[in-house]
Amino acid sequence: MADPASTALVAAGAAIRTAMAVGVVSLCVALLLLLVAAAVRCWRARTARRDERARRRWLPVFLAAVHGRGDPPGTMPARERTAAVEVWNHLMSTVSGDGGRRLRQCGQDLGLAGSSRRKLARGRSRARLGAVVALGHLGDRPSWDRLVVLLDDANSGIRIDAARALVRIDGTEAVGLLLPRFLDSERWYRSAAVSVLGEADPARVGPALDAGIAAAPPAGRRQLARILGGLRSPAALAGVRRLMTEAGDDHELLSACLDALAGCGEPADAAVVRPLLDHPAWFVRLKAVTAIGRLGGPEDLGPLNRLLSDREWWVRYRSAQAVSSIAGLGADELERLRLAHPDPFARDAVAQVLAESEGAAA
Amino acid sequence: MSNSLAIDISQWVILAYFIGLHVGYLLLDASAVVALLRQARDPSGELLPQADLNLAPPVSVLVPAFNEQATVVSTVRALLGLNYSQHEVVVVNDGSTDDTMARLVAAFSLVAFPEAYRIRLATQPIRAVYRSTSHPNLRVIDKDNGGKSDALNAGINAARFPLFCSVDADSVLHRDSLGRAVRPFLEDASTIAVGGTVRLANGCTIVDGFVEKVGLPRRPLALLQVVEYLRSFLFGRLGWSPFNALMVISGAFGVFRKDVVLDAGGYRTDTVGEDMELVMRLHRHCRAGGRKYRIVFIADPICWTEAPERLGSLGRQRIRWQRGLVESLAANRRLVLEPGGGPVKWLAFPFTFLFECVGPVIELFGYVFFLAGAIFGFLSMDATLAFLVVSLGFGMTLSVSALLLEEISFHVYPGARCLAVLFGMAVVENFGYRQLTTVWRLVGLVRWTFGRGRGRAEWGRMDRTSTWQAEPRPAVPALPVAVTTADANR
Repeated sequence: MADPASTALVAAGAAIRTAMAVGVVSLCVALLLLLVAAAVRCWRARTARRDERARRRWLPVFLAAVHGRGDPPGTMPARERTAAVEVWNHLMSTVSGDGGRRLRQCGQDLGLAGSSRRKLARGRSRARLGAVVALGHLGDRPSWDRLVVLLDDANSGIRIDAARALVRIDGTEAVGLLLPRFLDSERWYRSAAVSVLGEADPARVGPALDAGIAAAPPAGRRQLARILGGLRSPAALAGVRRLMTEAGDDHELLSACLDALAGCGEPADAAVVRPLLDHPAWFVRLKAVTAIGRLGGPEDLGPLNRLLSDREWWVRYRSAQAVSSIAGLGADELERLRLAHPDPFARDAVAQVLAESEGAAA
Repeated sequence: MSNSLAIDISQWVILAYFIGLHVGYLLLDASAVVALLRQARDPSGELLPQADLNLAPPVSVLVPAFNEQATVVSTVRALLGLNYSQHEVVVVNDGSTDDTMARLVAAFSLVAFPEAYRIRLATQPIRAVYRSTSHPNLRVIDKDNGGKSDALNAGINAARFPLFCSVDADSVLHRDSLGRAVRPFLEDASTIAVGGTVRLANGCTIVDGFVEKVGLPRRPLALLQVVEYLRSFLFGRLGWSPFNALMVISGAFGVFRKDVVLDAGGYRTDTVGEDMELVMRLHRHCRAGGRKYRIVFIADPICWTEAPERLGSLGRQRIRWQRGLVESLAANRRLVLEPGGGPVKWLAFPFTFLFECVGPVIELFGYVFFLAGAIFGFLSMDATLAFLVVSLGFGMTLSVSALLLEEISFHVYPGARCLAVLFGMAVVENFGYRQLTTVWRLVGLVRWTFGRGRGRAEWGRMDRTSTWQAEPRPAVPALPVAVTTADANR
């Protein structure tokens, strides 16, 4: 039978050896990680050099194509394609008219459509994203179905660029496909939806928006109204008016519609806005005041003067701004209005707007 | 016999602590790798068109300043030049006793302005509100001294936009820092706060308030902090983000939803760790209200700050940080008692309490215990050596994995020399620096325990070199005080 003390010593010795082994292994892991970091650095530097070479080679070719000069572009080596397509995409998004058409033709001559379709199917993320954008610029109808699938991709960048590409290929059909998706605010944030729709032809977007509004559920209508507000386009106006009449007691929808009207409404819309100046929800009053500031006329000065005493600071402040803008009051008139107002809080709001306008003039 | 038992228990406690600490950090490391790879697969942030940025929510950038005459003008100038669709800069001069206010007045042609805004958070009295005649989106609130939290609360009161961004007066940002930080708010409406990676500006070339060229500092103390910051931000914080269990957003740069912060009561003025305390309180507030929320950390290096290069400054900073941490945990201890679970309650809070709050006690005890054991012979030299090798091995693995994360993600530090120097620091920091920071943390804990300085918010002071700053401008007399009205009782 073993002596307990010697057993303990053996156990302690084993523990120490194990600890030492763990320590040595972790040191080795640290060195290994360092080697991986060094390898990543080398690979990155090589890729950067290769991309730089590709950019230097292809930018003059594309610029020559834009200006209608130069020889046919020849063939593009596969290793240069990702960087070259990025340069081409960048130029396509900045050049329009004949130059844009010639550049598109140059891309087609280089076979960018075929290579982009292949990248779309099995490229790395950067190459895939470039391919999606390029296919949109090329108006490549054969890739339509694949781009539609990408609208539900987990990657938000791919989703947005696929949507943009579809709009470029066929605006009308794309808007019909996109609107139901845009109602999901979790996956499509408003600014992305607005920027995609903003690229579509307004004349074609209007009917598609009408159809989208008719089919949208109540929660989706709020998101739709916010998107329409962001568009700031006459194409959205009919849709906004329609949503406004159907808003009822939905305060969020009302406020989103008022926001949209402030951006793209016409003076005739002021009649719909005026009753909302007395709305119980302060943020609806706020949006109504802002809209009246843009669409209203001298007849609105009375209600606005009253709203200078609103209990919410923002309503008072916007009312003061609205009074200043729609009446075209000069500094002296504003000062008289300020002094004549019985409410000190209203006077403060007017004083601030007055000081702001003086500051802007200075 | 009892001595032997005490030694055994001590050994096992120390061993369990070190295993728990390093396994925890390795898991956070793994979580950070997943988060970074996800970001790497999603390059959309770089490729979003300008139109998207134009629709981003406007942001009020709040800059609390106390005796920041050396940096405030260039910082504000840089903030005004941020590439963002709509933002305002609100500087809060917290009763500075140097030329901070005078330099602001001179540099930005400030004039007193009858601003009427709603005071929703109580603060020290406002002396005056100034508006710049040269920059319409710049305002300066001049107020009595009340500490950083008080200044931030005054800034929140004056902020006009739905999001506010708190920035230290010595922070250096990228031109697109705001755009990057606001992106999570665009993507998910339940986002209430976003923090980003802070890097060290020491050694960088800074032109017009922006980082022009990234470099490593020359002084060893700052170099050691570069590795420490990489480790702390790249997995210490990024690792918690996927679990929605982020416990701190650095005061140097953070973007918040104003309405939620107002509902939660703004910054607490009786703590030195106001940034951490606010984030913990936001967790509590949202959980108590049954609100769906996200507090997000983005790995992008969006803010650069100057690190102390002298031991005294560094020590004061770390003691202060530790006090802030303990105060934040103590103030929000109900987070673990209140109903509702989630990783913040079951993982982040206990982890922070065990390894960051009381950790220094066990760590320092471990160092002393093994050293004394070797000297006085109650532990074998082999055991002491094994402890040192394990400690060094784990420490180096964590630091080098942070270097690797940096390499595969942002690759900020150029050249092979930088990588070699940082690796050297990852080794060197284990011989003295880590132990020294542990001592400072323990001092912070002890000071809090015995109530020294507790319940008093104050400004952290640091000897700044600020080598990138322009020549100091001559002081000019301040303008007369303006009358400010507010409707606190309305």
